[in-house]
Amino acid sequence: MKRHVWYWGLIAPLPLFLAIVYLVPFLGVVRWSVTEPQLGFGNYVRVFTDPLVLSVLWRTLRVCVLVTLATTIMAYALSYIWVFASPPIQRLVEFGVLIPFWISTLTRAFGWLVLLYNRGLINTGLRDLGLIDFPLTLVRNEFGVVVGMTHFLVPFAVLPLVSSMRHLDTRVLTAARGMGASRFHVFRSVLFPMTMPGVVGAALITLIFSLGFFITPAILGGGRSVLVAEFIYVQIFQTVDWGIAGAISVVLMVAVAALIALFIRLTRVEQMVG
Amino acid sequence: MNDRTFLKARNITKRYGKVRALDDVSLDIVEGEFLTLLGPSGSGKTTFLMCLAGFVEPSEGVLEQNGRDITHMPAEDRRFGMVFQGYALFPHMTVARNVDFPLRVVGRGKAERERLVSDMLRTVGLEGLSQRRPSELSGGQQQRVALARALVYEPAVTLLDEPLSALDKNLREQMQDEIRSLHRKASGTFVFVTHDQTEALSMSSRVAIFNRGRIQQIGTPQEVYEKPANRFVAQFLGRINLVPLDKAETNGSWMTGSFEGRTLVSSTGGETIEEPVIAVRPEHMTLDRREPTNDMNAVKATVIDYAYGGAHSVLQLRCQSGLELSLDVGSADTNVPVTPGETVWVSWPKETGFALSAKDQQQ
Repeated sequence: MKRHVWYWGLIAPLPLFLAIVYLVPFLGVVRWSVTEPQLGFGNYVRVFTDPLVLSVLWRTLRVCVLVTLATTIMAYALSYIWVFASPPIQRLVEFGVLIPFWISTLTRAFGWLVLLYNRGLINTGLRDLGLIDFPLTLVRNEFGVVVGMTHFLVPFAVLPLVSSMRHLDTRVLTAARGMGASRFHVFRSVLFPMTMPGVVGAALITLIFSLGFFITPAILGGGRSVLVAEFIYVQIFQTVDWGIAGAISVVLMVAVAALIALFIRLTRVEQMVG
Repeated sequence: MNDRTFLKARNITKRYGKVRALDDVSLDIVEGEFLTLLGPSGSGKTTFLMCLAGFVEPSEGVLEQNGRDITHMPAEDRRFGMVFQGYALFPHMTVARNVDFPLRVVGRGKAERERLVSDMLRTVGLEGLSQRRPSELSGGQQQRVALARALVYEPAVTLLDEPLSALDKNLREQMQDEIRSLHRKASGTFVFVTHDQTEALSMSSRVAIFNRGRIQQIGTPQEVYEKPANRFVAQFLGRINLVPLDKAETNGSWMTGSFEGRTLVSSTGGETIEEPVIAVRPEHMTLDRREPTNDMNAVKATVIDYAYGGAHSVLQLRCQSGLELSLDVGSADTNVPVTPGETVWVSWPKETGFALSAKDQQQ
């Protein structure tokens, strides 16, 4: 009993800190959503009826689902190489996956801008090769946003996938091959089903992270492809409509909490870090 | 070697860097036989099995199936049946789906597959468990699923890699019987890898003994146990006493020499042997209080230890020269002096001993 008190004493500063910096301000946001400009649920009605808000939510969902798909597929390929390739290639992939964690979001978004811009590396390169006459619109649209967000999120999705592949008994793959199964058959009916927990974990992590993205879509969307986080920012600092900003925040928060609950139900935390 | 030879390994060598996992291995596998590859860990037996399966490519040598060179054919084209150490069942599939997998791969019809799977599950005694997952089965049941999966498509040969090593002793003996009876029923060819010499002797029609990447001897269990080709084989297959001979002379199929001033005789293959020893299995030795008067080999020794072992007990003795002997005695035999310190005579018939070289070399 005494020991328990001691443990709680050690842990207490963290929840306390989180409560002060997250929970209290969030309660403030909840209050705005039902009091600005007047008491009631008017802001929530607007969230689900105002065509502008709905189009932002719809775009956010579309972009995030696309990002989740692209990220999970790429992360799966990378994880496969990381786990099953020869050691030198494994080191290379490991390096490539871990390095981005240390590069700021801003730097990475601007890096993509340099590549994708009308006079960026890709467009000038293609023009010099004579493949195009007019620059392709690769940025300041949803495409640019999806590219930037996918690039940011791939390393996060790799970790649960690598973990699920490392736990795999590779003799099972050998056995399948020995019974005459082609590589594709082994992948489809053995490897993929057996790594499904990792796939679900990776997809949910990506979706949860991507819903709240702010800097990357703001830079690569260039104000034309506004996602929900940027939209909230605009409502607070430019149009000063704190009520609707609060209501959207609460809706976003509820959606993310539901996804996290799903994530915890479907995957065990030990699997993610193992 | 035989007109029913269908797998022929010629001079197979496998190098990993500078290590030779297999060193010039040649072996014929005859249709319908139960061949066991026996050896200590690291002896190359599993590497050889993996070469047969196609999971390991030999650095040198040729592997032929019915006269066709399959040395570089990938495993998925050979489709030999395989039972892995630890079974390697598909954890996300039911028992029935596991057994169905090799049939599905080759695209057999649904009705035929269902019939084959249910027949096979009945053969291995799992008919009621077809909808279970491997994780819901006991070790022995998982073993049966692995066997069913390897046998269901009637492969040309079934390769078994230490399939019983994870089971406890009683279950292991039961599964040995079941594998033998499956071999009879399936009338296929089995190649079985084990490091357990008792298992090898009791299950196989032939045993190939591996050490340091080389085959030391191939023969029936009786041949390799009673007439081992060299000291390694003799000692690996069970406890054996090695009595060194002085001034040994070979005369036809008999070798005569002296030990502690006594003349001893042993059977021999006729070739010259460096540093000869007589090898005698403990169960062939008998104990007397007085010097035996019959025509047996006999040496004098002192009892140093007695270890009770149920049906058979083990007696440790030491000769004057310091040589230690190990003897099996029936626990029911009350004439046996078991008091340490007592002097006794150990004797054995001349034909049960065989001459070997004390040097641990293969021939």
